[in-house]
Amino acid sequence: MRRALRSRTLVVGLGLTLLTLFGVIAGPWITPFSPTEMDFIAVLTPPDMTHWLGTDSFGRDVLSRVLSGGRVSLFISLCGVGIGAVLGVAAGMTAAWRGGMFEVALMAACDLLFAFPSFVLALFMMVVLGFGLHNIIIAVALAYLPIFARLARNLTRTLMHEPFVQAARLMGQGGGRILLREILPNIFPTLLVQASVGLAFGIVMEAGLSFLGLGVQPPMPSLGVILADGREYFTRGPWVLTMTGLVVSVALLGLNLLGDALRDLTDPRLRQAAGP
Amino acid sequence: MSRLLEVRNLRVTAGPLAVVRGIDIDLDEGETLGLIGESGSGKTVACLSLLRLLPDGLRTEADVLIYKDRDIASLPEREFRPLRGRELAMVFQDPVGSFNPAKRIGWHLRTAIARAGHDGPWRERALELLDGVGIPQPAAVLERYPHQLSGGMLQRALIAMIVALKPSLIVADEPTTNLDNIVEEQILALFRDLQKRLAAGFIFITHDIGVAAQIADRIAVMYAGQIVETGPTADILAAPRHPYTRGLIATANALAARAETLAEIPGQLPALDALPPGCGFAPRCAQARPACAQPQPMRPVGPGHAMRCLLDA
Repeated sequence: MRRALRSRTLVVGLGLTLLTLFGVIAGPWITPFSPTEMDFIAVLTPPDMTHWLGTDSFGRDVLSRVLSGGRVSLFISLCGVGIGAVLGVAAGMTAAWRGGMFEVALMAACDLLFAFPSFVLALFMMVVLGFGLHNIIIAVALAYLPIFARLARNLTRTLMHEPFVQAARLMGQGGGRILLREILPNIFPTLLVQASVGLAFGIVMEAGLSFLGLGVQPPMPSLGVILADGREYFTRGPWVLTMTGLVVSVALLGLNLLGDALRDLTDPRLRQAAGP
Repeated sequence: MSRLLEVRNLRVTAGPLAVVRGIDIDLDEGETLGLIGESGSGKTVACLSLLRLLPDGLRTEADVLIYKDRDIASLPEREFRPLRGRELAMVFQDPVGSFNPAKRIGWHLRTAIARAGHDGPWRERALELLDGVGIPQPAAVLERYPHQLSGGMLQRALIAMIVALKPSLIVADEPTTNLDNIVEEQILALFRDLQKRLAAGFIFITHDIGVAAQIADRIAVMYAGQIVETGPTADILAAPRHPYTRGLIATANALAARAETLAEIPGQLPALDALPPGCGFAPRCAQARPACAQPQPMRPVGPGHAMRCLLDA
């Protein structure tokens, strides 16, 4: 633990992430304003002591909206990346282990999906599936599934002929147990870093989809919805767009730093460098 | 002593290439076979094929493959898997790589102890096992990661796992090659202790005839995928018959005597795609004659002693 605190990356990353999480979860209780309640006396007020991040064109408190929109965005990203990661890793590891046609078919499918930028893929999914919270989650999951599948497959392939895997087979362990007990712990740090970066991009993806009007639908606030709103009156109330963007950036920075720090901490080879 | 393993005409092929070209192995309970040969002679591949651990692309065939009166060649994988660990075990050359780098030593021992069907707390059993192979401070070692221990320590821990599993056939693939001389002696002593404690059959792969002399009851010398000479250790060392075995022993003696000029064997192993039709060693043999271009059968030259050479030396 002392070693963990010595890592500045971890402290900053964890701090920003916890701050984001706290704000997003405790939002409704710490802000005196409702994210959807309009106040036509205070339309487009610049940031002051009452409205820390100002108000938007309907007089809604931007901070309240960012916190409650952040909750929606984070939830979507968490579910989407989580589902994509679990399914992708399971498929990728199985493909590497089994080999044969299953592996060829899975990797060909991944390559096909990689031909499109993941945002375009998600956009396409939204058009096919239609609007709605569930569908954004599915779109984000499908955009991440090939990334995790390929990563897990490649990592598994590099490890599966290591002597310790042979040794595990010599102990009479079957494929499933070897994948879960021997290989997964070794590739987990890398997957974790990918997941934390994925979580950040999942937020961006939701924001992008909602910004274009394909994702979360108003009046439910999400970061994308708020950004889309703020764009319309950017010249009269620039704080809506800039402040929301700033909050998103801080959250993303936190997640990325946390991912890097976690990788360093969970890699047993780096653990040695810090001493017992 | 009952027969543990009987192998006849074991062949391993990689497409058109023959890696192992028909070897016979007989092993009794409590017996140690030293399998000697230079790198690439097929020692390791032959043993991996017995345990069905060959990488994809290598095919194993054998006329007879009997382990404890059971034909294991025809066993489906589902029935073969339970044999691994409990019946058949192997120690690899690289002790560091044999351990999962993400897991502590205790986790590895616990896995082996659970595999052995041990009831009760695993920790006490683990400490007892580590103590039994001469690891100091076993409680601290349980908490260590593999990279925090030396190769010798890891090889000891691996042997402790083998002791836990009590297999009947143990293949040791150059277990001392990566270790320094003092540790090598200690590990060999451990193996001799293991021979006494478990009534198991050992196949000890080595390229060092000195190591084989210390540990093996019988020696089989492999060259280019074939066994070229086999016999009791004392006979082979005192009166090697095959020119290749003689060369190996002469080289080892010259090294031991710190001779100025090494009595080395000229040339190198034939490539797998350019094996000579007859005796594989003929191109390097000083005594080769035209008849060596014909395949040589194994022929007996003494009690339990046979070789694959037409010379009547």
